[in-house]
Amino acid sequence: MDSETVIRVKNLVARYGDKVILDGVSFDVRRGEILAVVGRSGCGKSTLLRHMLGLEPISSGEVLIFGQNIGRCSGPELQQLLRRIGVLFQSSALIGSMTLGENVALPISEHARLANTVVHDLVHMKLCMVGLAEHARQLPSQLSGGMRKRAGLARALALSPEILFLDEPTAGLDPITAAQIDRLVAHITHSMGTTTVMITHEIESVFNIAQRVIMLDPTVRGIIAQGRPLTLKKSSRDPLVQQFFNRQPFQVI
Amino acid sequence: MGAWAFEPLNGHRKSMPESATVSDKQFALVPGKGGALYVYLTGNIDVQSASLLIDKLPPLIEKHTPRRLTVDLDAVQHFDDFGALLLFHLKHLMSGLKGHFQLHAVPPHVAEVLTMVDFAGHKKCRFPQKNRPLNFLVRLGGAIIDDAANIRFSLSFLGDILISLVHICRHPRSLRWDDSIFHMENSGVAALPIVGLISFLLGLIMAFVSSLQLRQFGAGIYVAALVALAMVSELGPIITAIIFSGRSGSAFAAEIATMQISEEIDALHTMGFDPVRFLALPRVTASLVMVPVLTLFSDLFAIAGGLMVGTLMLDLTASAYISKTLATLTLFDTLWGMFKSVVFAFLISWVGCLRGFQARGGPSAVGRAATSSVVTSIFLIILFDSIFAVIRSTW
Repeated sequence: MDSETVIRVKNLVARYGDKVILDGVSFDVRRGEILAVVGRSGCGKSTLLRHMLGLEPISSGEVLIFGQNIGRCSGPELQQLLRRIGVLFQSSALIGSMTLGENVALPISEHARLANTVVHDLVHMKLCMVGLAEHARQLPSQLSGGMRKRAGLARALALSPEILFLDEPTAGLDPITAAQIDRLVAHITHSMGTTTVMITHEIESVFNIAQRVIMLDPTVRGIIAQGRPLTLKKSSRDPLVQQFFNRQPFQVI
Repeated sequence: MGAWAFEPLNGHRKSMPESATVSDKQFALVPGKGGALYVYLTGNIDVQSASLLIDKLPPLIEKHTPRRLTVDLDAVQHFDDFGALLLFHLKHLMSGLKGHFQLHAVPPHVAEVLTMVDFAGHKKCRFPQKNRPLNFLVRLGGAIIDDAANIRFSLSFLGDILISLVHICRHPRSLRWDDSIFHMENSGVAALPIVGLISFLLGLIMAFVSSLQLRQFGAGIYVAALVALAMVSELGPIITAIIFSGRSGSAFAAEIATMQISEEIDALHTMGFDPVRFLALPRVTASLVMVPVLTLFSDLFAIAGGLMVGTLMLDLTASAYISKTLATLTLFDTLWGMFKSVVFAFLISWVGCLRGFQARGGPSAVGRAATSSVVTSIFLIILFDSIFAVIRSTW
């Protein structure tokens, strides 16, 4: 694994009980790249993400992040690895009993040796980045779904991660906010060299910011197409790919 | 470069290694003419290094009390928002020293990060202060208004349940029987072992403690009367109700609160269901049936506990103990205990469902609903038991 490859998924098999969700999935993600993972509902996108984060036991194959097998990491080694990763969950997963400011401050206070006033400034900066600086003292339950999503993104960015995993970052957001989040992700990737893996259904986001796209499909339980988004849309002869990118209703092929 | 492109450094950069008064791997300070100070940053100014630099640099700069601070970023490689935080702190430091702050030779990737975090417009963070405690009268007024609203909602909910119960009596088929039976199993049958065990031990303890006194007067046989009467008319209904409120009342509150915060109750409402009839009635009905049954079992297990002490410690025969128990108890005592348990069952299920429906906010509301349901139920159980005691004494 060369130094430019930050994530390598090798022959990954993921299953829940007897049901195989992903069967022999392999791909690399290179430093500074925005990779979009797309596919129909139930094709295993979120399952892939959970396995890449080590949240599910890997049945077979391996996931290497910065050359380390996340399935075999544990203790301080795993903590060290996870500090370099930021995750935005589909449901935002903010801690309900904490204000937005406290949610964002949580990983910073835990992992960065900074004075409280500095942490406050940093939290303010992160919330400014997502346009929520005025809401620092509000609880997640007092905010709209879109605001919670942006707060989740601010928390994911708290430690300036080298890899950013985003699960449906723009789902359920209005087009303006969605475009702002797309632009923020693109800026972070370009200016800080962050690598981004984005699970999404939003075709517009894929075309706007993704440099490469991987398409999963439940029938093959794996990747059916990968490449640059526009190239795939224009040149792929796979009818499933065409149906997906052109928003056509599913037909049995 | 925009807001952070400023004047050239007039050759200071070339002389940096010689004239640096303090140097480190990542920064160098060079004093200039007329109170100027130049800071040269090199390498990665990011999450790994920024916290150290935030600690180290400001005190060193303060020693020079510069009138003008120029930060040269030409040799900066990786730069992220932690780096921006460092620059922001230096800027703030200079504003405190009434000096001038400027950036020089900002590479494009650094400029991009500074734009992203709005460095030019960023002000020192001042989180809104915690709200000052309100005036006593304002708080008192607020509490009265909240309590009035709470009482109004509670009474309205009570009315809803009573009307629904009357409706069910007239139209038994309208009750969701499957759900009711599920709750009977879940909160009644499944609670039998713990109710039985606790009641057995309670009967055993009562018999043991009372036997210590009664045996001295040769009145050991009255242990049977004491245990039977205390359990059937007082302790049986109370202990069963307390166990039921902790085990099932809290579960009712937590289940309904979870549904409330996840908008499931709103969904039921929009589908044309009455949430009270859909969710509360099966639980109330199950409680009204199961709590008296559990109370009956509680009485039996407690008597069995007393019997064990009577036969093993007081040398009483089992038949003598049972005969004394039966002779002591009247049908009225048993029915009185059952009546109390029905009232307690209604209170527990009403409070559990009420707290669930009142839940607002995030996941913590579920915990609050469960806790509040147990506390309120136990208070009401004791309050109503006291009322029943007064009624019975004046009967």
